[in-house]
Amino acid sequence: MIKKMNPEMTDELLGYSVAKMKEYGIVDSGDTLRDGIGAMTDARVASFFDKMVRAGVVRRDIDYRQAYTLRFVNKGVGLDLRPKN
Amino acid sequence: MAASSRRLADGTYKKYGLDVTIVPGGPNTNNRILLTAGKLDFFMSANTLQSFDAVTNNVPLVAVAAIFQKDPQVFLTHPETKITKLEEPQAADAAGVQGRRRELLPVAEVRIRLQREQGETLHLQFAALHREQAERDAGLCHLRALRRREGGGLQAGRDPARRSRFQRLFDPDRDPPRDRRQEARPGAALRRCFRDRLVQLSLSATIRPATR
Repeated sequence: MIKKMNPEMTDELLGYSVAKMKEYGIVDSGDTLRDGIGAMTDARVASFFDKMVRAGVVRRDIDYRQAYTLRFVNKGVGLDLRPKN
Repeated sequence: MAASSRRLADGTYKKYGLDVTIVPGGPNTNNRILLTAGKLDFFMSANTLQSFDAVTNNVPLVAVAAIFQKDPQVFLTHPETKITKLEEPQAADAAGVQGRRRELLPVAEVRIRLQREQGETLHLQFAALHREQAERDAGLCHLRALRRREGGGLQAGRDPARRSRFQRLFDPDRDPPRDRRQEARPGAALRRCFRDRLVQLSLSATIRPATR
């Protein structure tokens, strides 16, 4: 399907991408190991917000908590699908 | 994205009663705007900064999941440049330190090593938050000021054609560019940078004998 949308994409390139994403834990690492794919925490968002404020990228006075919700995550989705190894 | 396509292809979405259509992304699309306009229901954002940006601008968007736990950034070069490390002088050019492309180097650290005539190695290291051309020029002003303080004179590469633009800039024989302000006093550029908060420069210059 991806190859149909983007003819330049090859099986080799797709395989490389998936392997690299796994190698670096892009999707599944840290909080997701316990809370499932898509995991977010107040602490991590707060920490990121704080860093970005200090870097001068984000205004300090915004209510950053409006930017996300934890309603749909941290339910352990996909934990049962992880390969046992 | 790949996983989403697979779920669509293997019927997982349909099984859970979801009618899903995936539209292509990439640099030639602006799906983020389409989400805001209600043309899309979900959008895979680049990072949480975009979510903060939405709050800043009173755009009613909410991040519902962090599919990527990390935000990988890569430097790309063309094969003919033969650049394999950021430390290589040519890499400074390639990374857009002096380029005109402002989208490059959003938050990056570039190390540049230059040979000086005296056989010493001057290490310049600066972490730059280059957002605008003005900021980049300010950075260049500072680097030039540093060179003057050190007495200048950077050794060119053996093959002049292979010298980077960075090295050419530091060439004492070169006429100063007219479009940039020249600093009468070394260090003034840096102070102005900090004063105006144009750039965040963390610069360390270590002079040490080169191993021969």
